[in-house]
Amino acid sequence: MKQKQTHHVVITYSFLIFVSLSFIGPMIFTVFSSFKNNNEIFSTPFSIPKIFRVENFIEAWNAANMGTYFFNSIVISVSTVIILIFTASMVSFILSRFNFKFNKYLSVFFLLGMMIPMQSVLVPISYFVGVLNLKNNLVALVLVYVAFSLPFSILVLTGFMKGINNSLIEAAIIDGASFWQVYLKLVLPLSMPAIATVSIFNFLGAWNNVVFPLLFINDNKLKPITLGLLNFNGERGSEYGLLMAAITITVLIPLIIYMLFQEKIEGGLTAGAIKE
Amino acid sequence: MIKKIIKSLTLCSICLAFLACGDESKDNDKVKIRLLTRMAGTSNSVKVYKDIISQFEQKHPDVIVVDESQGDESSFNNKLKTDLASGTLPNIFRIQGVANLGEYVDTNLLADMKPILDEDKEWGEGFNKGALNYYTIPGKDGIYAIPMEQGLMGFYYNKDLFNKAGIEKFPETWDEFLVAIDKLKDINVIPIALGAKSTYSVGHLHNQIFYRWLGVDAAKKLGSREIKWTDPEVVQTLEFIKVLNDKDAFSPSAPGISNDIATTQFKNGEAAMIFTGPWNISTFVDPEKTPVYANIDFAKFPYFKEKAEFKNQDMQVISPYMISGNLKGKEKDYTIELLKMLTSKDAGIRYVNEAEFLLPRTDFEADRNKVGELFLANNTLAQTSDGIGVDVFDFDKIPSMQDRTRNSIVSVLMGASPMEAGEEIQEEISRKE
Repeated sequence: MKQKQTHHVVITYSFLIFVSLSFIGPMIFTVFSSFKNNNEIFSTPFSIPKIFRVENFIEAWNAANMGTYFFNSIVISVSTVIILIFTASMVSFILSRFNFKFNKYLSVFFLLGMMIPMQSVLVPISYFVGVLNLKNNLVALVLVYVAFSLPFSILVLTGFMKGINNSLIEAAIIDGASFWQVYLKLVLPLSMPAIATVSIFNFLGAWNNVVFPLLFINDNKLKPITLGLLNFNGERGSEYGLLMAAITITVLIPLIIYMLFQEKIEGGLTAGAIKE
Repeated sequence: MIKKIIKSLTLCSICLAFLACGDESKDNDKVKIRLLTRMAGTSNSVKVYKDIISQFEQKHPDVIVVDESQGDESSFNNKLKTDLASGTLPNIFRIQGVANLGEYVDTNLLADMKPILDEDKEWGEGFNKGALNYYTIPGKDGIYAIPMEQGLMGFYYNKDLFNKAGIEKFPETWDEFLVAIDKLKDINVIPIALGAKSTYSVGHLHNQIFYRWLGVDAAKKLGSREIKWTDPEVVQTLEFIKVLNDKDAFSPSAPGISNDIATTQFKNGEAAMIFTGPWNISTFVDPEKTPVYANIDFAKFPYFKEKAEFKNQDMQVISPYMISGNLKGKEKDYTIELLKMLTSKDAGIRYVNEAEFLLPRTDFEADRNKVGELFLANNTLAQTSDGIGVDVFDFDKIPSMQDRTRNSIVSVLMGASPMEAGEEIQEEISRKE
């Protein structure tokens, strides 16, 4: 029995170590490469840098205009997340708690949005953005992100809200709470774990997107960090050392956000358990 | 918590509104010139390009130049495709290939450059005639682009490794070339550095074999469907790729590595030669980037004895600037002025001396104290071309032929027969037409 348990532990840990290495590997490669030049990256891709070229980070910061682009990326991503929290949770509240004639059709309608590939609508969206003179408008960019992230967010939040104990809501209504109060003071706080999960996806989606800012933003003052990274790609060659340095800096912020939200998820889950 | 979120939302909205407005009111009175080219990145040629744009802006404070150029191919294509489809074409842009230009002329997306070239003789007559003629369209009068880059594709080779292998000079004929490959293998070096994961590198190699075997006009005949990819003579051009592969002229890992890695193999002296364009010269002469920099020389692709008439039918790189056909008034005048500045004799001198980047003009010479021997060798041999082609698919109206032809040629390295590769390409044509 004990031997069986030891085998089980060995297999589990081997698997976990393998998975961890496969995730950490690319990150280590990126960090090592950020100190190298092209020649060293391609001749000894996985070795520790012979010389630590710290100047790569300085040059990358300047060449990618990272100070401004960082700020823009944060504004775009945070705004997208906040708008999505409210819009998606309101829709989800209605879909999960109200029985009306078109409830199912409405759910399917939102789900259909997930089936539309982004590439297939680039031309019509950029046509409208052009016609409505919305180029170089961050609000328009944020709204496009919101539109594309809404179906997934609604799907997750609706599923979660359906699981909230109905007696809690009924008790609140008996105590005189309006639907708005039920939503704002009861359902929204109870849904925080799901909101945190959805927010991570939405934040990363907005932070990493290249295509929409590439098409809609050409003012250097408004560009996000992903467009800054493209500065290192030339027609016939790229400065991979600088690019990796820029990526290392860029990855830091989402990494911190992710870690913060991870904590929230755990906290939220515990809070939910106590209320139940 | 909720209050905090509401506060954040309000703050963000204010920030967004503030940012979104920016200096629009100030900028609204200015003429805006948008550029969408491939001149992006950190190379010296891009620095010259950006510097010329800054000079133009200083000269004209009432103009804003918005440079949306993208080095990355898919980003560039996405941007150009959506701009073309949504009718928001930039003032100066670039379309690769010449097969579809007729359609763009018919829809007034492209401006005819001939009147502008004729009007300013000093600027207009300085261009290489062959490069200008590349942008004429059968059945239409006019010239529809200004060439902004030209250079001969060929073999950059390591003289030291060739000497060690007992090869005194770079082979001139295909047969001599095959003998040289055997000799290079005998000293345990990779004869030809190739990274087929970057499919364009194999595509370029095939282009040059194609022009040496069938001539540049044959590519036009493929485009006009006078000949097919399954015709024996065309299949033979794919057969030559197989011959090189069967001879182990490439590294066994060639199908899986990128062109960057292959170029590094050559720069580190692990490979004896690489088929590429002049854009690599600045790194090939840099001791920090290329340890074997002192041993590198340049040669044209060998010719086939039985096809001596195509000895100088060469693959060259020709890249264009095009102007939107919808421009009017002041915006048009400023756009033309900027285009002239970017392609003037002075720009040509700066590009060549500061970046070893060749503007296709004949009215200046490179400063021999500033440019290297390698650049001069490339430039001298480029003058011997009596037929110039870029990519074979440039003459094909089907946009997917770029990927189709390159992928099928790569499949020959993976074991497909040349006929199978030819049939695959021909099937794509049949399906799309």
